[in-house]
Amino acid sequence: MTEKNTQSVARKDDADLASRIKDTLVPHVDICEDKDSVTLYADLPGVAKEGLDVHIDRDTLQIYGRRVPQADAGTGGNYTEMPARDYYRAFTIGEEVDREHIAAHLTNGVLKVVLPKSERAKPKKIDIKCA
Amino acid sequence: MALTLWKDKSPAHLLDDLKGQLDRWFGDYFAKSKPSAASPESIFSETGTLMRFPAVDIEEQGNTYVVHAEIPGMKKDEIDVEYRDGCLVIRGEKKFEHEDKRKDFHRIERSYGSFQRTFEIPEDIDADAVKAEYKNGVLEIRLPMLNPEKRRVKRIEIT
Repeated sequence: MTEKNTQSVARKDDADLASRIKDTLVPHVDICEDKDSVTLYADLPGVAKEGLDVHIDRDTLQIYGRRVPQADAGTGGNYTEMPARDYYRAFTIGEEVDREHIAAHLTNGVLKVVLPKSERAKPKKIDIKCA
Repeated sequence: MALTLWKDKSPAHLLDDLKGQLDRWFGDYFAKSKPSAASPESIFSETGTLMRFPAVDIEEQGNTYVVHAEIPGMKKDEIDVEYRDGCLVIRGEKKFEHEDKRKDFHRIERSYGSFQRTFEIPEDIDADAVKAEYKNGVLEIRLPMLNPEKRRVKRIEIT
């Protein structure tokens, strides 16, 4: 799984996406792999399930997270460090991923995407037959 | 600014200050290329060995101070919030959750380890009415002022 250049994704897709991802943050991710699957964890603090869009189109996995606006905003921030920007990041996924069985969960601001490997991509021991 | 950020002056924090200044000079130029560079994390946070500072927003909503802190991937009982002697302390430790499984890692960008932030609150706070909520990886703390009517507003004449 490799990172996809955001600009190239935006050019290929519709203008709406290009404008949405224009001023976004790149979320931190952990990516790990075992023999059955590749798992991605992304830190998306401030994103609720409704504001999250995980999308697979051919070889591209796109993650877009919209930050929940502070509903009861008062007189304005006295002090602010949290960038009030949405998140976007795209990855290229390999042929071996079984696209029908990808699962995504969002828990406490962390997105977990499990990309299972298709049966034919799993390592297989070849039986050796003696003639 | 109503609240001041408490930081000790260890070398790591001095470097953090320097990074903050560089970020201000270059604006968003580097922010795009580096994950979440806009948040003022420790430059050592990538290694996860030194204490990191979660990003916070602080605002006054009427007679209540509202603090938001970005702490993704915690359970609510792993975060410790304390109000003592006029100071609000947020601390906890984010454990490396993958340790039990032997897996091959392609990337580890999320930071792990303990964190702490301390804020001095200038007004008297009704300590019994302080409330905290953890939702979507963001901690919200509401600190109501004890005697809001006593806040002194002095109009300065311009001569």
